[in-house]
Amino acid sequence: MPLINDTGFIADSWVRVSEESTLFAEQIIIPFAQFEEAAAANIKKIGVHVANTVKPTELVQYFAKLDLISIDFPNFADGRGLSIARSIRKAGFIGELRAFGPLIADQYAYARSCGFDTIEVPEELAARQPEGQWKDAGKSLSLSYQRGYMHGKNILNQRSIHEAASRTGAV
Amino acid sequence: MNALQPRSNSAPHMYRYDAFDAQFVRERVKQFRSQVERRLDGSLTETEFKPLRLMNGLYLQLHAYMLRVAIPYGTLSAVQLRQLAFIADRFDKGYGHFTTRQNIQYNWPKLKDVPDILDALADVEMHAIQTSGNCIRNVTADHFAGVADDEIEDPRPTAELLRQWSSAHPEFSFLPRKFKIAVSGAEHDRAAIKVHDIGLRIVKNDIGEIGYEVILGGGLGRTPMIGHVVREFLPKNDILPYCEAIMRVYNSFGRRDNKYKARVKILVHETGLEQIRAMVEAEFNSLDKASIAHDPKELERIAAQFANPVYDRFAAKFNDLQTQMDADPEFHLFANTNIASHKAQGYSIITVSLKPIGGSPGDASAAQMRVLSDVADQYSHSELRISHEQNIILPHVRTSDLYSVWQALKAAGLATANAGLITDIIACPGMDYCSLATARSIPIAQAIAKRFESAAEQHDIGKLGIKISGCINACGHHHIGAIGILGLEKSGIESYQITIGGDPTLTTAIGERLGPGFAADDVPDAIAKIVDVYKSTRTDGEAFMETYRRIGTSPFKEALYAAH
Repeated sequence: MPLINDTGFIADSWVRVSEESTLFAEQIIIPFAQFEEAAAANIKKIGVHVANTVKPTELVQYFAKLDLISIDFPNFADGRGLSIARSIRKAGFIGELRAFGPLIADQYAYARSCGFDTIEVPEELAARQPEGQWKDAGKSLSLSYQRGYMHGKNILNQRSIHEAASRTGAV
Repeated sequence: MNALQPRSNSAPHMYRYDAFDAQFVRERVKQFRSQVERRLDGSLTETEFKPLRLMNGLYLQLHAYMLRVAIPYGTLSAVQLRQLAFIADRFDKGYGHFTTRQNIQYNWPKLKDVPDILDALADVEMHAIQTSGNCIRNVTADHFAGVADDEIEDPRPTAELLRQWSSAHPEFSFLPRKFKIAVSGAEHDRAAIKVHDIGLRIVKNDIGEIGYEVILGGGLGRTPMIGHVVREFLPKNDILPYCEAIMRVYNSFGRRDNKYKARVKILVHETGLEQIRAMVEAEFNSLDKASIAHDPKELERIAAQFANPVYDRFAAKFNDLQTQMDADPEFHLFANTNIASHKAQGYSIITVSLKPIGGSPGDASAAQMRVLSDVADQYSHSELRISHEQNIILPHVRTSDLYSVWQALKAAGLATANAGLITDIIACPGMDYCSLATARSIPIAQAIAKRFESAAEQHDIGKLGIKISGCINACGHHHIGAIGILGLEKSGIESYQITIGGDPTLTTAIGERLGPGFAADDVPDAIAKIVDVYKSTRTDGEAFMETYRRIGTSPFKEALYAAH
């Protein structure tokens, strides 16, 4: 399915492996339940796909062995995956975080802020919302009020910088 | 331009956008303009567009779109109110409707005009961001904030900090359901904090520090619940990390399988308070608070802008109010009900009732808005407030000016002397406008007001709040009305259930249903019977709620339902 990051639509070097298929590729995304099996099979890079009901704390012990975590979005209005991403990043995961499901372009900046690197969307949705819309949406709000999130220039931090600068006469 | 210099087009005693706030709101308008275009060219399906428009206050109602504009914590400048009047004239039918959550609704905007309306709002530092949708809604506060004589601290700086923090929140914009926060800084609760998803009460601890009591899981709607104290004392600087922790727990565990069970009150109820508290505290403790919390200087920066005007010390010398009241019985009635005491000597707070007999509760015409702006400029330091009772407040009026202000209000049909009385009815728009409604609200309010039209009778009955909702979503807050009326539909016929004993203050209570519903035409008679029980049972000086607490529901039930 189409994959999006900050540069636009990109080729996907990962292969999703369903529960029935055997493990064959070099970089595979498997259901979380199959992780042990894949780890034993000596595969180069392993990613897991998790439901949006997963407890982030259960994933922490696998972080070092995982190059990618894919979080399921059953529909775009279900924001649970955003909290999971945020918790996973908070817990120190540095691999690729991927949102999987029908997120819309308008959510791109939010997903990036919460820690996602890539979004994998259905073909139908990518056809309606081509690359340009994702790039525009990513830039539409250049400022944010929440500290500790990743996207956009943070207004509170900017104010602190201005305040400190004006105190020292630097403005 | 120095980003921290307030811009100069509204009253000086409230929060002013800096360049960052202004840019943020403009970008949000531009983003919405493009979202409308992408809806029209098919890039966005209606399902996808819906939450985006809702998060910008745009509903699709019975007859047209409705735009709900935020009046954060109810504070409004004269310049802003004039702009609301302009929008009403230019883009709507010449009026607006003030709601129970410190918003104003326009009932007839065209979709193509909405981005222009949002730009017109941004011109005066206003917006419609998050007045709807499954996100953190417009943060509300005590409408007497900053001027009440029972205040520990002005709740508005906290509310403004939360307004900013919750705006376009990357993690909490697709919640299980809507999320409402209210803040109170006084001993009396005028913000109904116990029936909000989060209610914050500014309190002082044993060693004199100011912080927050955090109340979680209140709400009205089809399952009314009173919130629980989840944290007795939260240090001020922890407010954003603590809210983040609550929101993450709610976003992760709130039910999404049934929209009627999706509010945080249900999560608290089903999980249990102790367990929820443990989950919130665990999340809170896991956070790197320093990376999330605001700089204390930021709250100081905000608070400084809410500093009160310099009051005239000599205003206290005025002592002719009683003489003026004695000389003019009509003014006397107004002064009895619509004037509250101000913390500065020689000043008063005026409640301008938007509940004229026979009118639509909460509606104001563009002409009335302009009159109020002019009055505020002349007499109230250019500032007004919107109360959750759907009235307008003039917060800084010299007591010596009360009579002049009353005359000006009277000339504009705005001097109805009924604040807090039986005709000061809170009502949702009901089936006349709303697509969710199952019954009419406004005509019921009008019929009851007509029934108790006599000023003498209203004043004799005294303080008695009636609240009407046209469906179980309870936008008219009927659960917390001393008398609550809920309009339902039973096999094609409107039926109105009556509750009594509801209380929106710190002694919060959900009203008790008296029995089967009444037909629309019979509601005024039923209310009259309830009032008669009160009048014949009350002791000297006893208010309706006091009598109710003393005698319970039985006498009222008997009056309404016993066979005669």
